[in-house]
Amino acid sequence: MAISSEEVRKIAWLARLRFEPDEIEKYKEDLSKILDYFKILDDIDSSGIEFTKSANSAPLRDDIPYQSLPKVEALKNAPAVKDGMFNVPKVI
Amino acid sequence: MSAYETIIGLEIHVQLLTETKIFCACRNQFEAETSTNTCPVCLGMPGSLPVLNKKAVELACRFILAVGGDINTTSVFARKNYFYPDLPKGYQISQHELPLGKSGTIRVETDDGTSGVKLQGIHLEEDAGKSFHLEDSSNIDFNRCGTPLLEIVTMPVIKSAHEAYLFLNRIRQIVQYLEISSGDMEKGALRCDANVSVRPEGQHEYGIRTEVKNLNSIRYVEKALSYEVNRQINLLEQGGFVVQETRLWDENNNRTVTMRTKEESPDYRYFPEPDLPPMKLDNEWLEEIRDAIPELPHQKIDRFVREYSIPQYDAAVLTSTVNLADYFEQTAKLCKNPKQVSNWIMTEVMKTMKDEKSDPEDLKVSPKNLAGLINNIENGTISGKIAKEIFAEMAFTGKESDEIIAARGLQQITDKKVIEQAIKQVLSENPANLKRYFDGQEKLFGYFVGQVMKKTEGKASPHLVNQILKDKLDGRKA
Repeated sequence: MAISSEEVRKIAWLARLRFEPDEIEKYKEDLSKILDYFKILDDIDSSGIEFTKSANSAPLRDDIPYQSLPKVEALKNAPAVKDGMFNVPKVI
Repeated sequence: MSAYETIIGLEIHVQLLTETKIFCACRNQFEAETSTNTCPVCLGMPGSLPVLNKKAVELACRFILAVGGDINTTSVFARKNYFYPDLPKGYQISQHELPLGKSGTIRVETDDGTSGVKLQGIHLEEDAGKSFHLEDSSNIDFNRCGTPLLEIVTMPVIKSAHEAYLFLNRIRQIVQYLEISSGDMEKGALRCDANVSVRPEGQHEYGIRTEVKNLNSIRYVEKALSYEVNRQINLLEQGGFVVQETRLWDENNNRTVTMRTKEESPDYRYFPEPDLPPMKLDNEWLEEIRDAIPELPHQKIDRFVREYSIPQYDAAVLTSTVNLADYFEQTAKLCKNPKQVSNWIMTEVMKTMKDEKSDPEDLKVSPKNLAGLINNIENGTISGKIAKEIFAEMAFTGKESDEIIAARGLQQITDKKVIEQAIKQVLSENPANLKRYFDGQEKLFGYFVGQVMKKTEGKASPHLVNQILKDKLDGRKA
């Protein structure tokens, strides 16, 4: 299944990735191959199989609080910290 | 100008009153110190797994059942993918193809009767973190991330900005009656986006719609939507066209402004959440939830009209909150005239609550004491005017009206001799006015009544003063 350069650019944008022109060509081929690979699934007869029927129910948890992370730990993965919060480049 | 039809659909988010977040056991208290109610799950750390909060499901089901919606006993959570810094996982866990609830109707009392606003879908999802925009960067507090949200989507059936306002007000009332949310719009516990379009009357196809966001106060909703409806009509009238876009309500300038033009609809790439199997609910549990649903606002309104013979308008005001409705009922049960009780609550009681920014529960005038005061008026012990003074003292001290009346000697004067005496005095003290009255200035009658009331320190029965004074003056005239 052939993917267009336009589609590659769109998918890249949705994933917030920037590709150089030659990379677009490369991913065009790669993504097309991946989609072709999934065609194997077309050979499986899935009629009558509802995915909601096969699984157990999502377990429900009682509404009881458990200790959260200490503030210092919580902020360890922040790109920057300001006023006790995650600080990120301006969004608006 | 030709006539236009307005079509509005609302998307409402309600924060649910649970102890913990929807997918983790962090406290659902986003007003706590920043970054103190977070964990690997709500911070979106790799390898963490969501576990659904039973209470959130229960509260959502309570709403769906209360508004006559259908519950899908098997529903599916889905990933809604988009990048925004307040969403650490890069996707929001929501519901898409098989949501928890569908259909249902909300009754709204409009100026010309009632309307039933049909709902399209009701589902559970998680809230994002709260952003604070600074000069050159943004701060995000993830305490709010993972707060359980109920999303309620209406069909495009709302016909005016005013109806949208009434509908939103009713939703707020319902979630408060059901005790599933504080419904506080200013604090973001109830949020609303609107899809607005207009079309020339008689046209079958919908007009191009815009989405209006940032309606974060119940007062703004009607203003913002009226503005947007008029903006669209003006565009069409001038031969222009509406652009499909998202607009923000700018509360400082009372207008909507373009936020982004939608060249294509957002590509959320929904797919079933692999970390959560479908949620299957037990009918027995749902019946328990249904049985615990209290009387809803519109049911209370109808019952008040029926049981207490008060106008629908009064009933709607009195049922605005459960506490106020209870206050009315407790008072009305001790009085003969429920309409009088309604009048008192809608004026003095509500004014006092507004001044004190208090709730009926905090009011120093208990239902029993208010009933005592109203009964004092009804049986002629005091006049309505004095009663207002007494009420003010009751609201301040918490005393009973009988006690205040006795202590201050405020019993109404119904002794005709005493009133006659006062009238005599007033007339003899005002010969000039009396002459003018007989010369045709009949409106001076009111002046004489006022003087008699003043002489009796407001205690004379106004009814008797009017009657006796009229007899006296008519007698002299003849």
